[in-house]
Amino acid sequence: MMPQQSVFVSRRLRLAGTLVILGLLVQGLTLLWNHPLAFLSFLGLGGLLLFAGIVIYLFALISAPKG
Amino acid sequence: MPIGLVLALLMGTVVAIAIVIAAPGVTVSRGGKALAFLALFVFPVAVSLLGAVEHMDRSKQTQFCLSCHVMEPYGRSLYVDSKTYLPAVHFQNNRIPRDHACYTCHTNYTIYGTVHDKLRGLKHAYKYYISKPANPIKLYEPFNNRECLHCHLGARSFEEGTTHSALMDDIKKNQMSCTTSGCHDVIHNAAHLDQLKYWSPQP
Repeated sequence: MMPQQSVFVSRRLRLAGTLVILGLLVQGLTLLWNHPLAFLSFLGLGGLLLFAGIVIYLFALISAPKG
Repeated sequence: MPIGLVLALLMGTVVAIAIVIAAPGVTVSRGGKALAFLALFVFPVAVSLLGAVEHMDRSKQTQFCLSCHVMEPYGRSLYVDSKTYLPAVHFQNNRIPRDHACYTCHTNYTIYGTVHDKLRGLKHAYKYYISKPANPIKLYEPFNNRECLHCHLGARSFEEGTTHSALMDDIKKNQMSCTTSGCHDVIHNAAHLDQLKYWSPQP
């Protein structure tokens, strides 16, 4: 069975990963569209999801109990 | 960088993240930790930066600028069949790259010019989608001779012209405007494009 701290980290990793994937997919889709709205979506939506995912991942790293 | 390569990197990153999501237990090992760090931090940041560079590059394209409805007459003015229309003469005679026509003349040729342009682009987007574009559209600040001189300075036809050489100091100091001093003052003239003849490029 997985130790308690690993469950905490794995939940955070799953959430972070999902957000980063969503962000990357949004950014990828905007690259297929040549329009000012594509750039705004890349920055505003894709960038935000990506940033949130990375922050959650980094937060999980520093807040994971040692051992 | 080719768009296909950016998308391939993106898909590779998604696959790496999917592995971490499917089996977060792998992060217990040192190798797994490294994989998670690459998949959730290094690769996404790298892919995002490459995507941003691609978007920045695209935003310099004429087609990009003209995709906003209010810019349509300015795009039309590039095809006016008249030597007095300054943008049209530059566009039709390849004095500026046709696929970067707007950017070539309207960027600021200064050290932070590109950053300034991008911020101005965001302001344009705000005005277009949230606020209301000015009618008629005006430049935020008077057109600076610096943008003309970026190409024309050093060109023989420009420097040896009697009018230009006589006024060169004032032109360089932007004290005599190229576009509003009565010399080259027919610019886009977007409100009066109806009764004009247009150039049709050969396919």
